[in-house]
Amino acid sequence: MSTSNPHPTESLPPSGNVMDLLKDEAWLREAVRVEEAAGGHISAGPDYGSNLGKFLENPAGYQQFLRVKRLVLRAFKAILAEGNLGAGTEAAWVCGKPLVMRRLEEPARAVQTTLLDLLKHPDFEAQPMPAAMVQTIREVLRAVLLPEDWEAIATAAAQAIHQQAIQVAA
Amino acid sequence: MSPIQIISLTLGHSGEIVEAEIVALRSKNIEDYEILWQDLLREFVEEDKYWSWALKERLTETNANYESYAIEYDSLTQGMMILETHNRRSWLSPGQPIVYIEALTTAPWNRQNIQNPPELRGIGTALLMFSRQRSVELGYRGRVGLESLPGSEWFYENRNMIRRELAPEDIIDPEAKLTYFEFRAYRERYPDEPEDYEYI
Repeated sequence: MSTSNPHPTESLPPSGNVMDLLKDEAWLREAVRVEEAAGGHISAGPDYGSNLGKFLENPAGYQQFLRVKRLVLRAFKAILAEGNLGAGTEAAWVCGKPLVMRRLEEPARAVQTTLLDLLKHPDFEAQPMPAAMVQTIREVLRAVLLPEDWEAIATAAAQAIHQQAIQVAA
Repeated sequence: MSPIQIISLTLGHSGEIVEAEIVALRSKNIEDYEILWQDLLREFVEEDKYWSWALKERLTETNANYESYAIEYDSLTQGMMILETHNRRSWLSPGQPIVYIEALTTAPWNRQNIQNPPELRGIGTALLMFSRQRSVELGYRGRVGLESLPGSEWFYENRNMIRRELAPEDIIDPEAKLTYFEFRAYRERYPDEPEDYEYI
């Protein structure tokens, strides 16, 4: 880990209440100046897009959903990497990612249980992902992706490799 | 609903100081988001439209660790913030608890890239300072962490937060392009601290 510039340690306002800073007009105007200089860009946290409302209603549940989604996509990427698709890997990812997401919209209850159980694994955020977890998600993907999905992914990869070969020849 | 905190903001067009309220998030605030904010936020990418995954019915993790707040002025929701208050730990002071800002956002009419001048200024600072006050109240000495979108990094650096540069192997979701920032603890000595307490 490294950190940027050594900011001085700050002191609490004498009252012990941080919010009292906002009652100081000079402090407030300087804070506003900083916001203005930042162009008003002050958002923190992921860009939830149109799902922000859903996140606000159930933040813990939504965070769990994001963790599951991230796990599945990381595993899918690892599986593609294992496939030695070379120049076709990125195309397979671009094609396959939305298919994976779509097929998991209404998964069987057993699939849901499998995915939620993964979050209980102590190393669920480990890098690289433990092989056993990749294998579990591989089985989930085998169960939910349709033959035509795999066909589309294979076609996308093949076309990318074909395009690469044409460029080499040109 | 009675406010948790009265705060000062400034009007964008005149600079006049006005009073607004921080309240516990309620259904009115989410309705304001759904009805009034959404249409103005079309530049947002709809990343997670598959939230309809049936999983949501089974996500039973408690919400007890989360606190949600909104700023209201002129009967409108002007900004919102979600805090995670019990499970996060500091990177600057390993092991020390922090308040973590899961989301901090302001109404589109307060964003000068959408409306210039904005209706109100100071929303981001007020919410950020409120998160710090919660950290003090919880005994975390003002330690607060958050992840900033690329466009907001300058703001957090200039609010005296410290940027954490992640090693490539520590980046879990490179597509998200989020940068971690953290406030150090306030330097005041607390009654329960040993004399050699490290203020980092």
